[in-house]
Amino acid sequence: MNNFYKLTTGHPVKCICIFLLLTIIFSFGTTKLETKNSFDGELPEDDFINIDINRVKEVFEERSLIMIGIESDDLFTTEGLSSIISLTESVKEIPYVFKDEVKSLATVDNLSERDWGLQSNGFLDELPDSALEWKQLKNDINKNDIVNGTLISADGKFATIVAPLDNDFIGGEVYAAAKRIKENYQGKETIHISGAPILVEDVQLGISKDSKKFIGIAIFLVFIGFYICFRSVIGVLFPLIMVVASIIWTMGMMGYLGLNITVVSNVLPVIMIAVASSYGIHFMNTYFKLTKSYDSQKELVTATLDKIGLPILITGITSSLGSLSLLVFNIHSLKEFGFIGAIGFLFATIICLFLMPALCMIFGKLNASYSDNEILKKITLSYSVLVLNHRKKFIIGYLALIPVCIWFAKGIEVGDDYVKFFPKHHDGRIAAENFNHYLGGIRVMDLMVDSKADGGIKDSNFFNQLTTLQQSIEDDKHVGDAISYVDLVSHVNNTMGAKLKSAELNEESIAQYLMLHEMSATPGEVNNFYDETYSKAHMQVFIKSSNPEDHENIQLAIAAKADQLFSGGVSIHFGGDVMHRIALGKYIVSGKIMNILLALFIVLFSTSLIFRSLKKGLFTLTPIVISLIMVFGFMGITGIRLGISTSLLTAMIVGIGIDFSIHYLVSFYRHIGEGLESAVRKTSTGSGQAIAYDAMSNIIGFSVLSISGFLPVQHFGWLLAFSMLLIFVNTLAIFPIMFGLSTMQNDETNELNIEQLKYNLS
Amino acid sequence: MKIKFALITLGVVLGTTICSAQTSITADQIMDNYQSATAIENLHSTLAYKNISKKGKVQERKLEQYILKNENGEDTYNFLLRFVAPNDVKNTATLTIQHDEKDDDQWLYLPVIRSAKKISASKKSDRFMGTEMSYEDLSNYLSEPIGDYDYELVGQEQVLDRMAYNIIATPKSKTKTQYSKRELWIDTKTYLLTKCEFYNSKGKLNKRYIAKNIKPIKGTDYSRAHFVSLQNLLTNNTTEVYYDDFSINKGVDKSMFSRSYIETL
Repeated sequence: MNNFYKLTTGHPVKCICIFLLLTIIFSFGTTKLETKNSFDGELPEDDFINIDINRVKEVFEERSLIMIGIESDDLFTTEGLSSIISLTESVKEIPYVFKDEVKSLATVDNLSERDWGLQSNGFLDELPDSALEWKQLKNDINKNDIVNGTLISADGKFATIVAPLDNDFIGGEVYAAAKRIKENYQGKETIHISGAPILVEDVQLGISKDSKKFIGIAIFLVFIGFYICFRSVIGVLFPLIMVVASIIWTMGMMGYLGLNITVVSNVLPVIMIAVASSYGIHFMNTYFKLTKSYDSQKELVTATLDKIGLPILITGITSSLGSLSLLVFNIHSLKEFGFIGAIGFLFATIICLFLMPALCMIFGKLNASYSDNEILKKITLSYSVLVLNHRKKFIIGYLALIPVCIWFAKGIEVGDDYVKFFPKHHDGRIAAENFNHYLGGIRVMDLMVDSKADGGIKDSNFFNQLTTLQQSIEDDKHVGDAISYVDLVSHVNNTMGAKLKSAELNEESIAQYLMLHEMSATPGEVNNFYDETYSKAHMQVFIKSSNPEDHENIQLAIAAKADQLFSGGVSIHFGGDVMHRIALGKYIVSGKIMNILLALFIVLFSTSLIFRSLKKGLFTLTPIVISLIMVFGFMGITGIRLGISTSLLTAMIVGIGIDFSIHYLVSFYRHIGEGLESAVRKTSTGSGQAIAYDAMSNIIGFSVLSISGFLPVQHFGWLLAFSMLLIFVNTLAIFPIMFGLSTMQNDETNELNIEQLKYNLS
Repeated sequence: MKIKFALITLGVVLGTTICSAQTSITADQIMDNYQSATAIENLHSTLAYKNISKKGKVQERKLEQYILKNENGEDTYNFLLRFVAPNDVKNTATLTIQHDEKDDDQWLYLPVIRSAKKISASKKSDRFMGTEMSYEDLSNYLSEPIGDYDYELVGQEQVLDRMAYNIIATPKSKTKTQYSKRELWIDTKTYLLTKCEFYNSKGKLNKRYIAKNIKPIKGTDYSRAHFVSLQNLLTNNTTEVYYDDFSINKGVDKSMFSRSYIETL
């Protein structure tokens, strides 16, 4: 360690030059970064839900749907129907749209019974020009389940154009083209754009825009917080340079490693600020506290490093290992984030230990002007003393609070409810609500029912069973509509005048009715209902709810009903965006539990090793565990969902917790020889104060995110600020309580030999 | 030396003669020849068509077609299409009676219904039987509406292994068509269409027709392509048709083209 001190204090200019050079190199790396705003490929290939999704995709394509809605007082006017026609043509020009599969009132065939025979033209081939023709059109629509309530609402106030996208669509391009259509056609009628691909883009763009706006303010406020703490320019500037450089190095490394910026790694700067800024704060806090005790700058910086260098190194390593615990997730972006987070924390540690001393050597001054924040100092000290004097009451309080938090934590909802992400007046939310209100809904679950026999879907038993299944699906209150070849056959049966009861349909009638549909449909349209060999049927289930738990319940109910109905090897497979989200939810829960357990184990293992004591390792862990329980309880009470972004935040708690615990404990063990009360007092005004500065500046900064209209950004702000507060409060309370217990108080082994610690670490 | 000079002279003279003979033919003459090559009184053949989606999914059907020139107009026909496979749709049939002055009459017969239903007349741009071929394309193949287009001969080109006249067909101002232009390649030997590119109303290349395996029909002076593909370049769907057992102008029973007949299938 001494050699390292000599390097940084003896050659500060060289250190800064090397730092600048490396920063330039890593800056180039940031130019290689690419953004990937999609969850595709998030799930492992061998995941059973993913395998099922891919099975459906292989036969029926992915067919993610975009939906353009047109809302008016009455669409049954020449202007209204003309708008549907021209909008349909424009939708066909959206990139990645299957032109021949765009569905609207303007494209669907109107097979209707007439006195003279069968009408088989497009609904809007010729617009009605007499009252009788208007009546006829409305009547045709009312009788057609494939159109009524699916493509146009029963009251004629809302119609949609539904367009499936090619598998490899790029969300941004589709979204931009749909937006242009909305702007061009907005006028007498209101145009809404929706569907999962649009929703995802809308959410990501909204979050990204809001994040940029608020995170900028948050960072500014964090550093204002630093200034409030230190009242010194270098007290703000040095940690700022350290944190910004850490972010550049980390993002640059991502670029060189070919890692993309994902929805998850988007939050890396924020997490780096929250975790890495504490390294700088602890360094500057120690530096300022020692500034009046030394005669030369070199001695001061060496003493600062001697006192705080080791705890920073320990926290850096353990935070890094904690971040690696994210590797247990089966979600690619979270794994990547765990890896890059680990590198980021190591970079922050290295920069802190090399750059900060070098900067202090060159730009720092002896007797530097700084002043403690007396209010914070008093609060920290009073709180520590209060805990020390009322240990039993605090113990009772904790024992009462923890079960309550666990009970609330059980109620945490899992997965992201996309529609609720939006502010109430956001176009995306209004569009989704309109689609849900007027039509079947915007979330789509794909079902593939495999009869396992060529021509099997023409079998009347299979047809009747699927009809029953579809009816039971449509009875679910969250399901707006379900469409399959059952609707085609039923409509043709009703139209052809045969009007056979479902049970009377035989293989020939089903085959001939299907062929009648094929004679007017494009191959793509046909393949949306069944495969080439007529062995597999496709059903699209339109869901009004965007709550992932409702989606899972629907899936379970369908699977149970299918089990009851089908026999003889018929299998059912689930696909579509909704299933993808269900799988992500499952992995978030199982991954989260594993991630927390592993992170805690890593912390226990590394701190036990460093302190050469399992008991001390367990001490380090206690405030982190209690903070985690409280944060989950808070999420349960406030209804904050456990989604991808909140998963990261809870992982971060471990990182921040380690940091606070180690700094507190190193200081506490140093002073324990002076007695418990003295150790608590000295720690609370030393490391405790730095912890308070760190917590306060982050709370001030990130609270601002809670005023964002977008729930994920808002929740991010709430959770970050609340977690900081909790870890601070718990660290300062738990350790005095534990050490206050008589058995521990008299344990001489608690006293820390710093040289031994250096040896242990080496 | 004299022999060499004589050969060169002969080559030049022959070449000039051939070229002048070929360039002397006009677009209108080629189109007349094309019309003659396709004009029939009646026709019967079997055919198998495949509708191939942009993702390669295939639907296949086998049919018999019966065509008979009728007296409802200058170039109007009766068509009877009867499905022969797969078995569960066997004997499903459509009957079309073309008219010059009014909408065509169409009937559909599904064996399970046991009665033929009159169906509304199709528009020219409607897809024929779910294929990429429109009703307009079908009419044009049977009888090119020469009076509705201006034709321009732009040269000769090899199409697959056959030489063809390359002609641009532009609709006259009063012509009702879904296309802004068609580019035709007419076989120099049989005067059959070997390739055609269709441009939609926005001037975009919409469809490409390719005819292959042109063979003479036994016992007649006619030739016919036995394989045709029509690719929609905007949707990437393709229809392939394989023809067989052509019988041209050998007589088709007129009574087949009636509602009462298809109901007996």
